[in-house]
Amino acid sequence: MNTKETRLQQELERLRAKLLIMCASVDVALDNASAALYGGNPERVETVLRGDAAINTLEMEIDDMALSILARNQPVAHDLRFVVAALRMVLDLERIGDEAVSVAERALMLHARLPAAGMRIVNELMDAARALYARSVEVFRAGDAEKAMDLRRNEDEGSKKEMLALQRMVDYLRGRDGREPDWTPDAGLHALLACRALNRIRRRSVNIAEQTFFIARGENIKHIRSGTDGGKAPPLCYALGEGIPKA
Amino acid sequence: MSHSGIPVKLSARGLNFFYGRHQALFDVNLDFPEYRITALIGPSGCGKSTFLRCLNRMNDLIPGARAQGEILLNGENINDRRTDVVSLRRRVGMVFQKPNPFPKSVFENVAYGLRVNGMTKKAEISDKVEESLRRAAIFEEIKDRLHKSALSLSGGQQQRLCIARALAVDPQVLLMDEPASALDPIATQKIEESMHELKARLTIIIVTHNMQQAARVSDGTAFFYMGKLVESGETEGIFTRPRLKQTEDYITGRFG
Ligand SMILES: Nc1ncnc2c1ncn2[C@@H]1O[C@H](COP(=O)(O)OP(=O)(O)O)[C@@H](O)[C@H]1O
Ligand SMILES: [Mg+2]
Repeated sequence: MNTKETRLQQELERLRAKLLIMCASVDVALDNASAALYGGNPERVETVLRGDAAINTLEMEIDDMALSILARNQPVAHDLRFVVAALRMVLDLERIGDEAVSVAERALMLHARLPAAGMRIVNELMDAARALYARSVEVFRAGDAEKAMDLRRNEDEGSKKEMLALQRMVDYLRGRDGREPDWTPDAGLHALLACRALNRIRRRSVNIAEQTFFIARGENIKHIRSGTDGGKAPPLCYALGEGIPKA
Repeated sequence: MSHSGIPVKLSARGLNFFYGRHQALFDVNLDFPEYRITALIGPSGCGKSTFLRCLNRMNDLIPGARAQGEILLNGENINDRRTDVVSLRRRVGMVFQKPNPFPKSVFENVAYGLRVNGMTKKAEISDKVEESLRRAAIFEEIKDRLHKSALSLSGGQQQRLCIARALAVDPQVLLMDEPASALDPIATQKIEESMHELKARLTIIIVTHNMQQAARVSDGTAFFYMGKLVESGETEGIFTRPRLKQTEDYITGRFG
């Protein structure tokens, strides 16, 4: 059976290209947010804030493209799964962009007020979140279901590491290492909020891998448990040392 | 029982079909669950119509044509020499691509089959005609024109009249060969809606070129290519995650 390139395929190719542009824009935002954290550089913060509008625009454009493809072509099979996944992925990407903003907004203040020991932990979490995001985009670009599943499985390990880092952060903020706490309350609060933003970036990155799996195999693995935590980064409250807080 | 747990109404077992020396179907095995709509899809010339006509031995009329293998209706092989073909075609009715009403009144088109089957009482016939027209979702539209010529109806109405004609003799299975391909979207929708109601009492098998139509109306879908059944299964599965690349290429329009 010979195959031909259809108009729908060309449109899907454009949709895919647009999604990859959005992935790259979000990556740039994370890169700048990270640089702002490390270097306390106000231009980098500014760049993240300005870039967010472009990410929002991309979200709307991709949304429109996907809707139009659905309405005019009634795609099926892989094509349908791709469009549906695109609609879900833009939500994740846009949110990751928002979280990059959230981190960037706190970067200068953290850089100025949070002592080095606390800063090291935030940076460590930032690097881990960026690495996971980059891997999820790579998996999507390659359309590789196996790697998508691997990413999700390895997230068990990743979230354990994150939990330990968060516990160190909490210990540090509590001054459990025997020293007097050397941070101001606002620095402590913003440090935790930044940690939460980074935690959400990880969770959203796992979603992107799950969508890649869905596109390739037509199966939703969002709620299939793998290992201890279904491959999801656990919520931040776990790291407070008390486990799940009682109501 | 089919794999879905629904009783099988009709099934093809090792079906081969030949037009003289040209083999049009190759070892087709397919079950049709009762009270479900099954769509047959595939490129032109792949054997959909041939297969459909095997299901009520309509191909018998073609000189030199011959079938091998079994077609089981309620478990009985209709390819058996002893099968009463007239009674078979009453149990397995058919609607064609082009509406083909008789050049008679609307009423007579539907009443004809009843009379052929021995119904004589006027009131009985007229009740059955009305019921059939209602089941085909056309009664309200043409109740004032029952004694006008069927040829004065629109194409969509004629097709629904042909459906009513097929329904009048209470078939168990209805075969439809691209029943809406010559109709506008509104007429098409009416036929699709009525199919949905009909399946409460009927097993329907429809050949369609329209992928969206197959996805809309059918419970199960079977994809044919070059006389072979390539893939079959629940319609939802076929259109969201087909197993085979050939199926995917065809339903996504990449074929050819
Ligand atoms: N009456 C016939 N005599 C000879 N060959 C036929 C006849 N009808 C169909 N064929 C051939 O059988 C094959 C299947 O045709 P058909 O069942 O009409 O396909 P489809 O309905 O999928 O378009 C084609 O190669 C066609 O040319
Ligand atoms: Mg045909």
